[in-house]
Amino acid sequence: MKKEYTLSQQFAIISLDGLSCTHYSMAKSAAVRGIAAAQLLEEILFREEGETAGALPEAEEFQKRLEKGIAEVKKMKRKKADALEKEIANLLIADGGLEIAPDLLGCDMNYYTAGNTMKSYRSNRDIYLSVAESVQGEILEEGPVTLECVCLLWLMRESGSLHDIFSVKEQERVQERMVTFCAQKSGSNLGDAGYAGMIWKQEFHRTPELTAKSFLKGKRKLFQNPYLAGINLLFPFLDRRQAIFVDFVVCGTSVKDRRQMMIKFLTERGHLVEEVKNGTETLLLIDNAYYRVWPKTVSCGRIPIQGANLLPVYR
Amino acid sequence: MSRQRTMEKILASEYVTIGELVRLTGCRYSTLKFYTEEGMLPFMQEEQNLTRRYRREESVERVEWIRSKREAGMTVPKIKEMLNL
Repeated sequence: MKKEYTLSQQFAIISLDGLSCTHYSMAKSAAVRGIAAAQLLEEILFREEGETAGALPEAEEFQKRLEKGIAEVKKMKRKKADALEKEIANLLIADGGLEIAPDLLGCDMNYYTAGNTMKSYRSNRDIYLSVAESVQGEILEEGPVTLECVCLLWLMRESGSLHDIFSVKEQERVQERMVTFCAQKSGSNLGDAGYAGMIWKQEFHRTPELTAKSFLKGKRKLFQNPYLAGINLLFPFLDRRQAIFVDFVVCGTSVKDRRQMMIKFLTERGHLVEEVKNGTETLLLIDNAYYRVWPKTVSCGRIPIQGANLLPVYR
Repeated sequence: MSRQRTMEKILASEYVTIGELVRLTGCRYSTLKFYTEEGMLPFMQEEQNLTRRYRREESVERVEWIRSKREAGMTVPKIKEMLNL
């Protein structure tokens, strides 16, 4: 039987995937604060299995505890964040949900030629898919939404990882469904919708991230967003993946040759690579993320170097 | 407080949602949605705005069957033909 994961573990599987395990980054900081927020929700809402609705906190008390907890999450120190990251990562690694794998950025020409070895977290593909796709199945389909699903969506929104799971069109549907769901609150009975509404309103970004987001909002105006098109971002976005350049000598010049070369190169460096058909083009599913192979030549001084770029593809 | 159903509960129930079917089969949501829209995966829906419910055993078997045919290189129209759709 498949293992049941707690809210914080499910969120960690989604948010830590692909992030460096040795270096600090804004995306990782947001992810770890998300894990802390998930633990807070576990404490307030999901403390015991089979807890009855009657045992839940009243609206005012819930709001108070949530706000106080979120304020603490926002102020979390780096040392505490590191300890929390290690704690949850070690637990998931021991369980097989997460592993330490080579960082894709380490495959970039400038990094591997400099002898840099980088490591990142990689979630177990089956577990990652199970968590991500069941959330999709619940929120995008008609019918009731569980509070656990709402909590996961909120955590993903706040940590900027919603874009990994949902396409732009799907994000609009998520927003629409959330507005409808939160409006279902009736009378004095708070219910799931009431709690969902209170949670959905909360934010735990930090000022530097807000600045980063404002910067990205600025970029949006220049038609530069993760989708590389003039699409308005509905939810905050944090850069979690990078484009990399890999140099190689290709005997043939076809796109397929370069793609095969890229697959060979990445597989040799410990990545899980799979070709995925997307209409007329073929994408690469590397670890748990999609990339497009783009032939490119860069110049070092006057010497041209042939190879290909790997560009992150969002849904 | 509403939580996603545990695997134990899912395995004990007659009907499941598409999200639960994802967890049971390991298939992507989009794939199951496609099969549903193509009529390859029967479901029940009491009203248009209510959750689609799938018979657990039959649906898991059907998904496994479609998957085996796809792995054998069969196209979706061909599989639909086999299902008399």
